[in-house]
Amino acid sequence: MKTADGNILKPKSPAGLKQLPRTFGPLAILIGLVIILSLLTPRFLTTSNLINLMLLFPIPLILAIGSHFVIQTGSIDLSVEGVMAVAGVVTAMFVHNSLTSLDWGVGGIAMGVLAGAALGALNGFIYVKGRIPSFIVSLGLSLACIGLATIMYGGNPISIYDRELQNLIIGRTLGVPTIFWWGLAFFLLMLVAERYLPLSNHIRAIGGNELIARQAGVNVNRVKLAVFMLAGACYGLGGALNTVRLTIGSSDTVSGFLFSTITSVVVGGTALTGGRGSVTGVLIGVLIIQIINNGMILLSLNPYLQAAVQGAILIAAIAVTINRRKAQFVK
Amino acid sequence: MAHILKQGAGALLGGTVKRTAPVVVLLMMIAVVGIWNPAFFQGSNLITVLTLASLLLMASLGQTWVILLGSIDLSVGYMASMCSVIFALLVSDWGYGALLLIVLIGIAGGLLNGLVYTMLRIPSFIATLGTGGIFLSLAYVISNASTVAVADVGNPVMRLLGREFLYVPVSIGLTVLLWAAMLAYQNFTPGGKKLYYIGTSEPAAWLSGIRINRHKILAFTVSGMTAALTGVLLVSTIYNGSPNLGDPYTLKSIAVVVMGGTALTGGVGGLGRTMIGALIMAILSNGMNVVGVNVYFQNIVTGAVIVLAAMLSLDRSKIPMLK
Amino acid sequence: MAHEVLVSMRNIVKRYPGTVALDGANLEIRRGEIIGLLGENGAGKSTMMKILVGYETPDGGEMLVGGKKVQFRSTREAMAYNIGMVYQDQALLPNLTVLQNLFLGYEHLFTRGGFIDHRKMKQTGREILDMMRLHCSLSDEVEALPLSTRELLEIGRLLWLSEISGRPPVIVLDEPTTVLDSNEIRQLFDIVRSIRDKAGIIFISHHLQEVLDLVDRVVVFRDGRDIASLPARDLTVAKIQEMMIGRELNTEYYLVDKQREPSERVVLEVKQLTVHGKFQDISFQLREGEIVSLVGLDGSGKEEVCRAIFGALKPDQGDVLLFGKRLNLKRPDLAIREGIGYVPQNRREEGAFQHLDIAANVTVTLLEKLAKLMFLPRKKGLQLAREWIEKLRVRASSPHMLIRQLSGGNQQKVILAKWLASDIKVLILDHPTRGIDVGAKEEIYRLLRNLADQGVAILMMCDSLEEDIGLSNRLLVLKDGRLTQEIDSPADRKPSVLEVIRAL
Repeated sequence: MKTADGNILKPKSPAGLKQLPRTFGPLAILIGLVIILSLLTPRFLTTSNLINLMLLFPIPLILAIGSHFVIQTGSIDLSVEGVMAVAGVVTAMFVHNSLTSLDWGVGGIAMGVLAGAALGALNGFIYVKGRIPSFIVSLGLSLACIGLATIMYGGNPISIYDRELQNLIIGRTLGVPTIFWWGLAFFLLMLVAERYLPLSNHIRAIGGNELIARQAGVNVNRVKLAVFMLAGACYGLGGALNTVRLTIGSSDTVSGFLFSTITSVVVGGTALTGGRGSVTGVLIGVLIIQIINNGMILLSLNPYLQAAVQGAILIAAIAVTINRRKAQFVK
Repeated sequence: MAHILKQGAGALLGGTVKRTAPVVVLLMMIAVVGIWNPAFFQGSNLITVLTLASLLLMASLGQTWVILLGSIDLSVGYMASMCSVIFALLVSDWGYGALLLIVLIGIAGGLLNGLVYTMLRIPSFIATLGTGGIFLSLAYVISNASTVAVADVGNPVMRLLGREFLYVPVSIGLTVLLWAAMLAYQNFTPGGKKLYYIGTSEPAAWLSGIRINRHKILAFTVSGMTAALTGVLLVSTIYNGSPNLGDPYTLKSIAVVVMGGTALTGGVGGLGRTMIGALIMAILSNGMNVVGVNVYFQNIVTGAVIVLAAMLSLDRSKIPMLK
Repeated sequence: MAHEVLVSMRNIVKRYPGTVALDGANLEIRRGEIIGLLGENGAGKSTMMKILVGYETPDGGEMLVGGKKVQFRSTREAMAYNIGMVYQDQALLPNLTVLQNLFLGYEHLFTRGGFIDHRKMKQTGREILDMMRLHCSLSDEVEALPLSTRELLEIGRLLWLSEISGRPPVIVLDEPTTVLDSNEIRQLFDIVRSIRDKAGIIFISHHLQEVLDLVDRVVVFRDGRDIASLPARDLTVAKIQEMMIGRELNTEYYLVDKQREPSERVVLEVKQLTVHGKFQDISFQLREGEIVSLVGLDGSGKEEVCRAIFGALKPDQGDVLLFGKRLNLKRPDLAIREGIGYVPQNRREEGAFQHLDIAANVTVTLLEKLAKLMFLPRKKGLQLAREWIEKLRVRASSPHMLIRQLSGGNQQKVILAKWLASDIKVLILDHPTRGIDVGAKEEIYRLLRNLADQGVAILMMCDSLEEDIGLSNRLLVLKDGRLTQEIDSPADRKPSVLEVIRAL
């Protein structure tokens, strides 16, 4: 039997075994990490540290899940920080703050999400219609957004006065930071979406082979636009929450998120080539990265080395999982 | 219009149009800015523009070859930052030794990029993002997250960089010399020509006996070196280095290369174009300053310009499946 | 028993640059009838099928589905009429599960309020699996499944799609038995027979006996036309082979009179070359001035053998010796250095640097040789290009012309010039005249004869057996990755195409 380009395919051995590291690898790494860290320092497994982790990981989780769907289609979105910055400033302007007289409370966060979604839609639109490689569009967009955000607050960081709103994030509900529940709810929502929405199948299909997906009837352009919009919304949410948590509306609070987001997604098993990975995997990936950061602080390692460690992990994770057949001529 | 977007203006625009467009843009810009504010043509301003241009050019030298091959180097800015810090720290005591060290660091970093890209088969934008993170970290760690001032501003190296030879600052001369040497390699040696072959079609290049990895590693190594030297130039202008001083130069180097007319898909363009791109960017930047445009707005303009220039120069017939 | 006509293709014409693939071809597909579509490579049957399923659009003629005129611009449109072709991996995504693949693009049929009802989906999925007698699980990743299963899954999906639309499907099975063992073939035939009444089925295979076993009617294609349509029971394998070939070999066209006897000196020796999964234990010799053709069906491994000799495909075992010296087969540049050239089949992506000019294309392997002390001025390359443009009569106005602006034949000449300008001892050509017009083909034949005269050893694979026989001194037959036979093709006693076809 021939493939479309006339090649005869001979039977391959079942690929089941090769999938093992991909499915269980991240989990194994996570467990191993927890064990190693708890052995290295007694401060890791304390309640206060765990509570701290619960406070820290939801925002990266939201960002990572947004990126995950884009990467699953085989594209990439480097606009995380830019969109976060704009969304954060937008949110800052709508809640009780030093610059404007608005006081929308939670509505402010919603505005941030909307701003993110709009930027994501722009990103996707330029990518799909302009047919420019996604990494360039998102990179350019990110730069433009940082500039936009800074203009919006005119160089003077906005101070947020809405303590009630901030408490909604860092305050406690049932003994743990409220934001943890937000994160959990978001995760469960995405899990349901992944399992029950046809869109999730379409996303995987496009990542697997865009041509085949298109021939099967998947509206590739619409799906791509949708994932970029979703990603933008996620970054918007992350940026809004980040801003409220820190009570500062500024573009300085977003540095470092791009790295950790992409690294988390890749470590969680989502292949850069697309078509693989899962929301659960992303959760594990985020936990791994956050725990590593946490561990580095507990072990008194220079916090600035975080970026280097993440960079190295990123390279290692991809090197280990890359599909060599697909990567014959890599750009 | 949709037709143009679909094919990629790069495929439709005649060769002559593509070749001359950047020059035309450059001339038009000089005219526009000059008319708006004749102060532009003042000697001191021109020197400012040329200094800015040479800074942009230095950062873009290696990036040009990387993009010519069809890849990208996202670590340029971080390398520049890291080297600005190291250079500022050491130049007072080590003099020319510091300069040599920077060159070596640049080569080592670029080599790392090249090896990760070719040996581990990781897409260049991720590979350089990853290594960029390492450089970023080192910049912060070495400088302890603060600005590093040059201890002895009067030391020979700093004075050399600041001196003028026939009214031309040495830093500019250095950049242009390097550019000329690289241009000679690019246009007149087999190795330089191979960059174009690889960028045009890697499969065909491989089947024609070109050792692709070798040239890729070379391009990235050079990119690392020029990024490092950018850090040195930065220090020579403001007499200190800081861990994020060079960060904007990643995107700026890409903008310069793309605006000069080198296609992101590779195989077309080169250092000659990059020179034009550097001048355009410098005049744009300087022009915006002279006219009084907000610095942050400039970022937006740069971002938009990158996307636009990429769109126009891209030859879509070379990308079957756009990612 | 044949029922109503489902699809009627009339006078279909399809042209590609340099060739006419279909020249007024006809085909009628009826429900309840299995058609065996046969013909040599290049006879037009694949193109006909591509047009049927919407992969290509015809340049002339018309197609009627259910009596209505249609023009498919994509396979999706054809699918809407339930016309589909089953390739092995064409419709399945390896990274998705069986269940996801079966219903990709049609999930909305199983949703309630936008959410997928997995129970309903699985139920229907299991029905399809049962119908196709498959034992795999719905949650298996397609990647892990054997090719035979994937094939049946695709057929199952097509059948299901036709069921929900209520229109009888037209299913094209393109070489389905290549990857099946005899049990699976029997199973497939059973299933095909069981659905015969519901559909119109086209079966393409080069295993002629199989075709006769399964189909009701045989349609033979030759030179872009359907030349025969007969009930299978009236035919034998021998009769079909005769119909597929047709004419006498045109010796003048292939410059057979210029064919020379090779010298005794062995230039290239291939010893037990093996690439797992592609070919095994290939051994043969090439002599000075000899033209040898590799012949074999798709999947015989002949393209891979050539790539391995050139260093473009790393062999697992075996050696290649050039004038007795063992070659390093790791990379093409090593082979090139020793004097081996390779003209790939994919001219556009692998053969030429489309966006560079003629001079660049001609000089790519000569850069070091032309350069003096690392320096290589442009004019040397231009001069060389001009020489070769003249020598090979390339229709180009100047060496500055981009190669993509040239016709296929002229592009190929430029590619050949690149090797002619180097000092090659062996030239390997993969389908050198594909997509090239008749006039240019003749010029290339002349080129090859000249090369052989100069003592270069040539190894090639052509688009048609005629070409292989006409040009070469000797034919090496490859079957399923093994060298099974050697057929001499001396100038005075050329074998017939029939003779060679029987050996494949």
